[in-house]
Amino acid sequence: MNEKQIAENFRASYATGYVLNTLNVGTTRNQGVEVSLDFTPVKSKKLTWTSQINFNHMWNEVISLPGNVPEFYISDSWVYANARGGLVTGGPTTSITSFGYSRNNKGDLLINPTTGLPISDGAFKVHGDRNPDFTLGWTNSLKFKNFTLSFLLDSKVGGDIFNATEMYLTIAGLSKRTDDRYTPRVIKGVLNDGLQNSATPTVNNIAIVPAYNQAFYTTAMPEEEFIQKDVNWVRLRELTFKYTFPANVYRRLRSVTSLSAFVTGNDLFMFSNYLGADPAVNANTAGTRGVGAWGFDYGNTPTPISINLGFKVGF
Amino acid sequence: MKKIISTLSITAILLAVFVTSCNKKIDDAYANPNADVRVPVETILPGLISCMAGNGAGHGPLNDYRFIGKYVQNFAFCNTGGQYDQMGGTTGSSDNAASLWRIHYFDIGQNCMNMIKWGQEEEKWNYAGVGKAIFAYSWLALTDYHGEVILKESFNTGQLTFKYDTQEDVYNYVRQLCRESIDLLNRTDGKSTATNLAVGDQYFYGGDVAKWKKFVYSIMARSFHHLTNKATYSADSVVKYCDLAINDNLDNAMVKFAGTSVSGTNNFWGPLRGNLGSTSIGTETAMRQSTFIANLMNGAGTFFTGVQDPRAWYILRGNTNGTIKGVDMNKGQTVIAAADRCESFWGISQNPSVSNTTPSNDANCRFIFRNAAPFPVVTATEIAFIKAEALYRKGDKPGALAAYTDGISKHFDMLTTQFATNVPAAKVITPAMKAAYMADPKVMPATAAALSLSHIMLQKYIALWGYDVLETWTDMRRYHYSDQETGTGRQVYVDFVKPSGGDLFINNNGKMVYRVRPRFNSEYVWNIEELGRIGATALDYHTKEMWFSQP
Repeated sequence: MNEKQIAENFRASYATGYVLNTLNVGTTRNQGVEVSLDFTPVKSKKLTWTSQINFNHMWNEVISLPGNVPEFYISDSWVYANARGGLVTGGPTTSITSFGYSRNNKGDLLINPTTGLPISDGAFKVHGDRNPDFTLGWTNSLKFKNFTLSFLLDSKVGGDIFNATEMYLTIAGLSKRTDDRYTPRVIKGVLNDGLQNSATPTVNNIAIVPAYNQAFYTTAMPEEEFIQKDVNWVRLRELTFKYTFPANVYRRLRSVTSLSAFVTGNDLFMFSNYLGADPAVNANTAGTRGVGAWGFDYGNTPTPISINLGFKVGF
Repeated sequence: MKKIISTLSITAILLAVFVTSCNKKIDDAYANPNADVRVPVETILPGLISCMAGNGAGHGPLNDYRFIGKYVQNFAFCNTGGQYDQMGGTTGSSDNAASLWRIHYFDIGQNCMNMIKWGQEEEKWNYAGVGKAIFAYSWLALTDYHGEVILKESFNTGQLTFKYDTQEDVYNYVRQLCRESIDLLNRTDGKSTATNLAVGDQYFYGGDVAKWKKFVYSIMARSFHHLTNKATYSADSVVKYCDLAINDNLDNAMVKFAGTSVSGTNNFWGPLRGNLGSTSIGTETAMRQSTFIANLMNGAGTFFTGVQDPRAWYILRGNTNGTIKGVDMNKGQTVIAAADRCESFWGISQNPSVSNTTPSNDANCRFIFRNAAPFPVVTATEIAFIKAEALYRKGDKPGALAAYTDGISKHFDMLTTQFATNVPAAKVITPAMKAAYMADPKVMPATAAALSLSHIMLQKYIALWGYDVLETWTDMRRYHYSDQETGTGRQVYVDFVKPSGGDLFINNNGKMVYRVRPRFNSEYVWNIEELGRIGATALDYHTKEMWFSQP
């Protein structure tokens, strides 16, 4: 529990004489479990296989914020439209707050009875948590005679991402989701006609064709729509194959004490349910204050595959 | 042994550092090498002065007067549907008309506090005195604008929510500040020299402490005079402070502008800064002269009927027909015949058949609408009219008539000496024109007994038009817009039409506007609980009458 933390650059009444304030306020809790397992599955004269598994799980919560601060957001995470890393009392510290759909008391989408389109609630509410359920890393090293093969498998399970790139492309009509824009449809929901919270709300029956009604992709499609839940990945972070030369190869070079050749591939494969390019995103840099801006994808490019060849010489 | 001693001493030093660092605040402990937290007071003052007009960031009264200038019908929106034409308040999450709140608490705020504190520490008493003078002006403007405001808990950085105080508390504090300011300005010891004050005061009074004292007494006069409806109203106090206040146009308190090619050095209402341009309904900044002011000056009104006021060509704009006409509230200009539509304040004809130069040319602008035009904060003519009303209320009608005459004369002189730029040659006021106007029986009653409140308040309205909008609003609220003078059966503000029906904003529930709600992005977001307590969350909060105008 971090009590009375320094909250930097939060807003308050101008009566302080400032627009941005710094005070020891706010309480958050951050707990975690990290389990590391080292083992050697095979150990013989010719073959040695060592392995390490690293498991991590974090819990976090905003315990309290000053009563006059409904949402304390990390402005560096606010890179596109109306979604940002906002801290709300009772929510996670790694939340995504954004505009969402207006809903009735049963959770049905409210539909504007004039346009047949959903209604944005125009308010920043918690719609996602960027914190994964857990992360798992698996390092392996297989040594056979003079050959060594090592690799790191990295996986993340759970955690949400705001896909601003997809939102941008949707508004521009370049996303695949706009392919069927000429297909008429009726959006599932109830009309916002005064009966929406009654026992018998009016079911929406207004057909629309998005191609003739751009608001479908813009004002009527709030950021909530672009927050992808539970993004998982498994990726091969690194794969190295190394050959260590026997000492007689370099015996004549007196100053050399060891010599090896290697080939390393980074990010050779990645399996993910993420709809964007690469789920390992950060809309800002690692230097961003607070929780940072990871989990915000706005024009991020995927990690490239890289292959390195080299010799390693010890003197 | 030696080693033990050195280890001990290191431990002692570490302890000492640890103990002292805990008592320091972050600014004391770690000096910022790039931006010192302590700056010369001479560099603070110019920023504070600019706040009394419109500062480089675009905040100050000039920003807000674009909106509330419609409440008093100085201005009218060029389109229909203007919320402020309809005496509506600011709604939703808008910060329109909330600039005074920002300059008071933020732009002036801690800067002025520091200037006062450091001025005293460095024995630059005049800087401290000027700081209190600006704060007195600013606190009075703030409360006349918003009513209840945060006073006692203000500028406390250790607090998260802030309680509001009564207007009476703020008025008392304004007078306290005025007295403290005079005491400081009277000091000539230490480093309190005119030469040094002139360094920071270049764009206001040029370091003249005597003028600053007149400015302070003017604020004092305002604060006593606003209470005409109270049994405690003291005309004698008002007259006393008027006599000490700004009495000569040379002493007029004006924010001056360098007017360079850098936008921020220009008048907020000049064409370069371009803040009167938008014709979109949302911003309502495209303003024109109202019918009310036009008819006071073109002879069409029922009080100064048939009298052509030569000052009109200094402050208002003509049209293709060469006449002075205004725009009706909430009606927009398109309902007016094209040749009768007044030009914009940048001289842009609103007649579609006339071609205009784009962008707006400063050479077509007059009065306070030029890039380098000074902006009057308090003027000698205002003080003369305050004195006239006070003497009139006291029953000294000859004295009131003398002050009334003086007020009109000073306004003429202010315009001809300080705001003659770009007035058409044919319209330049000659001494004969001024004399003729002042001798007109409609303007100048033959006897002191024939003087009425309407004379004083309508001429004051003309004399303060455009720049002293808040003071005019305070006047009109004192008269509840439509109060009649006892025994005359006539509204003091003759011809002033209160918006009604569809021309009155729906949230008003039939009531007139009396205040502006506090700034949204300070109070409604971060201090909402307290707003609930004072009733500021009601949609018609802006119609709640203030303390100053109540009995």
